[in-house]
Amino acid sequence: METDNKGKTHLKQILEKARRLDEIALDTLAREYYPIIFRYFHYRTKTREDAEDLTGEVFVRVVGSIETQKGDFVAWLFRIAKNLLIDYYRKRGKLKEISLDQMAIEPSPASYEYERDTLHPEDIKKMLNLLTDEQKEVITLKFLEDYSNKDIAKIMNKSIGAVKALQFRALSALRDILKKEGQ
Amino acid sequence: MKKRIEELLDICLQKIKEGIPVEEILSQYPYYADELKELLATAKKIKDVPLPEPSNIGMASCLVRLGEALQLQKQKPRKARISRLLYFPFPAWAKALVFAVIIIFISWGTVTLSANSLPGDLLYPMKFMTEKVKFFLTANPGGKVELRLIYSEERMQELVRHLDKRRDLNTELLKAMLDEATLALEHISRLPDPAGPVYFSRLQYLNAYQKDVLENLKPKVTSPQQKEELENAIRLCGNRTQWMSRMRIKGVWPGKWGPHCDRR
Repeated sequence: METDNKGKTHLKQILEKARRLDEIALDTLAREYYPIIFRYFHYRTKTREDAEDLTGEVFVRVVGSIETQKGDFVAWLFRIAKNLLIDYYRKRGKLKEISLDQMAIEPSPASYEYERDTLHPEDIKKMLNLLTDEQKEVITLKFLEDYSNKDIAKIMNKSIGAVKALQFRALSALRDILKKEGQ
Repeated sequence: MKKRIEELLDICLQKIKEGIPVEEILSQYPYYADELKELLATAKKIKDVPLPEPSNIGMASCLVRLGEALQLQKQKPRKARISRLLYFPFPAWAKALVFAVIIIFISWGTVTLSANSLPGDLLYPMKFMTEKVKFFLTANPGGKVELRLIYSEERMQELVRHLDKRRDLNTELLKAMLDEATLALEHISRLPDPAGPVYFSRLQYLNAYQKDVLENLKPKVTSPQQKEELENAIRLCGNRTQWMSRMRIKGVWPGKWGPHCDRR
């Protein structure tokens, strides 16, 4: 994300080249943002393969329309990802890939390797699926991807105040879930 | 109250990021300390979760798809890409401006093309409408007289072109030419000194000129009925010219203007 001026200038230069369909610039953008977009899908889809397939599709769409892209690039990238996710859910005919019943289960096999205070990635995925879409998004962007409130506000098209409120509600909900699960 | 704790939570998270110990932070907000402590612990648990990393195969597959998409994109017709570049990167106001300029250009082009049209042509109604709008928008009385004189002369020009082109005397145009001159006289009568006498003089010369032009049209008119109408128009123009000339010589003007105003 554009965290400092140097980073912003660098991203701007790469974007300028990418908009002219420069292969190296597009490759750089893909390598930079692939993990972030992959994780966005990972927490929202059933399988790793689905997440990887959707992530690849995001960058195919980026190539298709980057010439006319304007505004914040990362926010735009997430908008593409959100639209693809909506299509993905629609095709499968349901909004939540992981049901509430699936959540209230014993810990994932791998989680025995972790301390009691430490969550396993699969546990967090299941917990996130109990939150609303917006709460899930603010948690993943803020605590997993380490974005600032300003960047999250841009991505979610909300005010910073609304992001803080969402953050509070999402953390409160997760705290209650953890209490319920005895973590 | 709720809004306050949202703000406090965010401040606490920021301070933790800066490396300040949680206990020290919470001691600043004793009223909310218990709730904040739980929320900060939840946040820490989430942050401590190892991030799922994409596989190398996934990344490689993405780059291959990107390369293929790039080739396809480059093969797309250049014209389509240029048109997209022209229209989409501009802000809304620029698009509106371009649209307005196009509309103005089209309107201007149509009005210009219609200027030489004749009755029966596709663009003639546009010309007629433009004249009406122009007259309606002119507030100055002198400007209105000016327009009447121009329209009278324009009808005369159309009459000549129509006769040359279609071998037919358009009596509607003839009538419109005389009517415009009559209306010009009416407007002149309301003008103050010195504009009134100046326009009166111009109208007199226009009448004389129109009489000469109509005289020259006589050999081209074959229909007896049209000939008669033309003769009447010539006579009217002649009478008007003589009357106006007499008025000017006597220094007596119709209407309200000047010290020589004839109200009888």
